[in-house]
Amino acid sequence: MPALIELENISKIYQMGTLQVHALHNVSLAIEAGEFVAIVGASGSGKTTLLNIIGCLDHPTSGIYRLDGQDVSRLDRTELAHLRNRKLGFVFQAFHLLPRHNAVENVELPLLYAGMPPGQRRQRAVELLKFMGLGNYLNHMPGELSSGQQQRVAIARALANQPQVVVADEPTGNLDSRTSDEIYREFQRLNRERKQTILLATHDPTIDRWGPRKVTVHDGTIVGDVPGKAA
Amino acid sequence: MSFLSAIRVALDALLVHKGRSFLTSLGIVIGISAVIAMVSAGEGARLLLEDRLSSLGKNLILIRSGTPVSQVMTAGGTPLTRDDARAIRQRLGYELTGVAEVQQLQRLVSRHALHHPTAVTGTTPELPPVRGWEVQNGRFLTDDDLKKMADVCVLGATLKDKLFPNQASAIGQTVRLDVLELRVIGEMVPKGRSPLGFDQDDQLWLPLTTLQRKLGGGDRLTMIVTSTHSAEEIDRVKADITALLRQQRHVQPGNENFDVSSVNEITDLARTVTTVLQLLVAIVAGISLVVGGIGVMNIMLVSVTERTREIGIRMAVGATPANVLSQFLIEALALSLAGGLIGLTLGLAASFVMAGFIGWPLVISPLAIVAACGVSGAVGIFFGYYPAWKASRLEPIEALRHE
Repeated sequence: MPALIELENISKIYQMGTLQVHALHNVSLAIEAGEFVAIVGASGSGKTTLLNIIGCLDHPTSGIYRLDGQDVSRLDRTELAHLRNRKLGFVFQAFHLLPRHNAVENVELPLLYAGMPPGQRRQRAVELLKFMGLGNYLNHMPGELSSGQQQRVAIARALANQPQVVVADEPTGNLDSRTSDEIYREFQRLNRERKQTILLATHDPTIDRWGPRKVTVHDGTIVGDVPGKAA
Repeated sequence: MSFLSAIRVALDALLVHKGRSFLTSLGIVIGISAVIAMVSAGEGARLLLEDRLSSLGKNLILIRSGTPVSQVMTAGGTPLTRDDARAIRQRLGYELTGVAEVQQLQRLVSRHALHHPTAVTGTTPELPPVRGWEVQNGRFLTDDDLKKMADVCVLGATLKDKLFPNQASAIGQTVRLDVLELRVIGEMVPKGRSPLGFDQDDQLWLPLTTLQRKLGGGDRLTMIVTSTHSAEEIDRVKADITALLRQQRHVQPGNENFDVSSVNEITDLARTVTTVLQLLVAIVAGISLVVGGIGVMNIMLVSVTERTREIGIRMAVGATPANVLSQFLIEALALSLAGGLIGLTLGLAASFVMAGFIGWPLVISPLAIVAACGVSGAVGIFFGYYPAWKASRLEPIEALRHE
């Protein structure tokens, strides 16, 4: 059985004027369903680019990427949107919540684009927010929530359509260390309790404590891959 | 995503910027209300004009002395006389509804202490059939009245009300005109105002001979009035009359010292003027709609730029290009349709007020209403498409990075 995520010789080259920047160079990586993977590396190492490609937000310059056995490079913009909607859930460093919509509406957003009827949508969003410990903040606007709470809303949103992979790009980058720990604990809980495949990028050296498989990226190539500790 | 959800999303976005949304729609509001009000005004003016023109009489032909200097004026020339009228009656009478001679003066008419300046018209019995006028009470002038130079008169409705207020009828009573005591023998059915605004009911008719002989009017006729049986005959009859009068008055073609004109020419001129005015208004309204549409496009472009990150977020969680396109298209459509509806309301209100003040009939064209809604919708889609398309073509990763 093929892995959930398969990257074969993925390269990404940015054209900056006359200068070519190799963000990724012949990266190959396989991630099985149910894994908890941390991509670590300094800023500029290429880990965000790698994550964006896996998350179908960006296209590789060359190489093959298969998600759930499907060759992503053959898909058009609409099919990619469906893929992001159903199979992927994003958590961003800057949270990226819609500022004029409350917590429930933000979590409902992927369900809206999935075509779920309003009543069901709301019910599911409320369940997820409760699961993330935000039962008392359902109608709060993002601006009325702490950064930790905002990131929990974002995680609830990422989980909305029961994605196969949650992709988190530096999810604790804007958080203090205590809140960071809470967020990591949530990811660990999701992985252990729900067998949720989680892929997160970080340059936080303390990530080891949460026991993920650790893939190290340096100058656009993978330089280390340490298996995770079983729970 | 369902269509209803898409509308909700779009309306929410518009309500965030209420003031801006309103100002953006204002161009459409002005354009649509102008269209509605002007179509109504144009139709009202046209109906009023038609009404006044028909009050002049159908297929009317006016013969005046002098050289025509415009379609309604003549200058100089040898006066028309009863001989000219007699010649027309004898030679062309078979194709005319009648020939009426008219000499008009402005005089003070009195009854007891009531004085009223009015148009005093000396004429012949065929005036009512020629002009399509009807007698309300009593009778019109007869050949016998003319032969006897009788001291009788027929009153228009306005004049009757001035001289005999609160009286059902003035028939049998007398009015004073200069040295004459005239007995009222008839009252005319009101005709309303002429196209030039002259009150045709503020008038007194008396035998032409009485006016010429007893009031010193002289032989000069103001005009000869006749009409044809149908509109198609007008041009031919005009040519016949012109030829006859040339012969009668010994003038060469091109040197006519008289003018034969038909009311239909004036009608045509008036119609041309209203059509041109309506066209001008349509152009102005069209321009304001285009300007309004550009306003919508402008604000939608600003909105797309401002909300690039929001678009990125929506795309990241699964919005397709079509979802984004429809969201912004619906926003543009809602802006211009709201503008269209407000404009429609204002336009109808303006039509109502204008009709009340100017006194033409209130015409609300259902076509104009449908067109207003259709046009504002079309403006929204046309000018909203480009910004919406631009939004849908954004790359999610670049949109998310947008500050």
